[in-house]
Amino acid sequence: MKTLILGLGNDMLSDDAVGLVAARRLRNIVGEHIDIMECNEAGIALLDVLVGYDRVIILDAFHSGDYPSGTVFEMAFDELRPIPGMSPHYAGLPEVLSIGKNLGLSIPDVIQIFAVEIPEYLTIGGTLSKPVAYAVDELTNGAMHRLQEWEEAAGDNQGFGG
Amino acid sequence: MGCKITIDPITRLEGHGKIDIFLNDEGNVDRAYFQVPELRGFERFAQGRPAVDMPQITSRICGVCPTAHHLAATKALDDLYRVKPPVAAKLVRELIYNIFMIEDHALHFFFLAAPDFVVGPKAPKAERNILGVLGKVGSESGREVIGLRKQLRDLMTLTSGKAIHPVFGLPGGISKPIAKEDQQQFIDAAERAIKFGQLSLNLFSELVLNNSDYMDLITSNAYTNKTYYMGMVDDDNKINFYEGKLRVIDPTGKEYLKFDGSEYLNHIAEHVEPWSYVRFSYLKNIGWRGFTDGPESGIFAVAPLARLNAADGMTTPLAQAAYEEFFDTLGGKPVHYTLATSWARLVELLYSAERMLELAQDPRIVNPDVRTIPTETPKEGVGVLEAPRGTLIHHYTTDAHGIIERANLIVATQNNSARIALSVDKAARALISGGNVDDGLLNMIEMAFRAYDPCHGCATHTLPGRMSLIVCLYDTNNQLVKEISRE
Repeated sequence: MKTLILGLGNDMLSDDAVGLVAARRLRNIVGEHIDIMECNEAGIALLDVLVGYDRVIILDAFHSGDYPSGTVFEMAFDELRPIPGMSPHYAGLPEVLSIGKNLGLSIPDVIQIFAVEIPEYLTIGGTLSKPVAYAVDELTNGAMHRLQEWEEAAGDNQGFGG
Repeated sequence: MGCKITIDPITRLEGHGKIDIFLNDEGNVDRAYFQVPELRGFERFAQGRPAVDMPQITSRICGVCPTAHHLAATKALDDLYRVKPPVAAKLVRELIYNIFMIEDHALHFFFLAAPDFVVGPKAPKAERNILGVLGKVGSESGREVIGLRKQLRDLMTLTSGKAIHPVFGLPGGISKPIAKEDQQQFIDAAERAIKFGQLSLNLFSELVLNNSDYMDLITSNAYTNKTYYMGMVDDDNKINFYEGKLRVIDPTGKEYLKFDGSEYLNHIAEHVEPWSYVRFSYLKNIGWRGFTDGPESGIFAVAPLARLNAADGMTTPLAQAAYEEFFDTLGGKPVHYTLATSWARLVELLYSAERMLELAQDPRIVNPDVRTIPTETPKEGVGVLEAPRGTLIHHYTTDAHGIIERANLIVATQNNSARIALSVDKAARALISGGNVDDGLLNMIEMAFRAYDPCHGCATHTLPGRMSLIVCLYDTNNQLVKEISRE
């Protein structure tokens, strides 16, 4: 089973980088059999990244305004639904993956998403705000917990040492 | 942790595009406003940083057109340090730039324009997407889009470090030459891209030009705005995306202006409106007359349709033939039909592919001399090029050590923003009557701005979704009567 941990975000937009920060931290923790990627691409470009993996954990930020900053959510990919939009660059993950599937590409069977509510993402510059920085641990713990479950279920536990 | 909540959908809500439509007592459109969010804080972020970092910084602002920002910044550094890159460096830069244009234009056509023109503007929402397109044209074309894109991006990585955030542009040149043994790969990919460009134009001709309903739509009054047009041209007034002068034609097609990019402040001014964050570019010497078209209004357009209008032709044979067919079919120059932008984009795609081949075959492109070391004291530099969405301007002033004191960016969508607002307003007025709006009509209003492929850099990625759109209808008392969300 090929597994990827994918951090999404833009490190020029302060809190938007939280997924990248968490992925970077996991690089030193998980074993070498797990690929870790930091990515600031969007839309259809994500196909390049996802193709060839069986299982993917995505770490990302989102802004809804409905939850306190730093709130972490976990959701399975099939809980998302496509949103029609105005540019292909903003193509959503569900659509990107169904394109991949339709074109006969090898796309992941399982995608689990961990996302952090961030207060703002339109100002260039700055580092993570406190509530969002505090959420990094929760992101990495959540990802490792999920990873362990997968590996135990598949009986391919190679351990997290590394 | 432990809490598992379905957020449906999760989108960056501030990333909404929003159209507010105000109706009069008869239920007809009084005024439609199109709003988008904009990134803030760039100028402050840039201040105090070394100008030589700008190609990296600006390309990372946005995941959509990093190569355009990277090279506009690099050109601004050439100007800042008064240094001329060696021939090979210039050729490699233009090669990479055209590869990027092919990739971007191909994506736009198949993923964004084709759902409207191949599947149909009033087709059910669920089918109006790339999957619907693949259903109509066959997955072979879809695989070719993805396959060609991958090949092009691999070549960009080979030359510029990373496709997403290129790292090869330096003041006075580039960081790495193209090796002779790699040259053939570029030639092969260019030949494939030319075939793809021809295939795309044939597809457009078969599905759109032969369909009188679509042609009526494209040429309808709802999508017609008679404005000025701006684009970059070479010495013969032919299109060039990488270098040249900016040429502006008036709504009758006559040349109004031709100027060096460094003089942009003499010709482009910015207008602000209380209802929008966007600064609306207009032609300074014509003036701002509100959201209206015609020769008295300084509103102008950039991007593919504007570039074709502003130039006298293309330098490559297949693209020139396509250019002539474009204007012959649509009644001569200039073409004011906003929806014809999709066709213009394909003409440009073919040009970029042919230009890529010319550059890849040029024996000088593998010359290892790719850098002129700057020796001048920096002060001020301007870099201009044609991004996929139109004219892009980077302007930096620095101290004697090259530290940024002031940075100004005018991005393509900003240059287009007044005409986009104009187009949305006109389409809404023409399509809505008696207060009736349904999903099909809403999509047709969206088509008016989708043609521009507006990009506001902010939604560099969105977790599940795309930039979404809300349309709000208000009555004469400013009471909300209907809200249609595109989520």
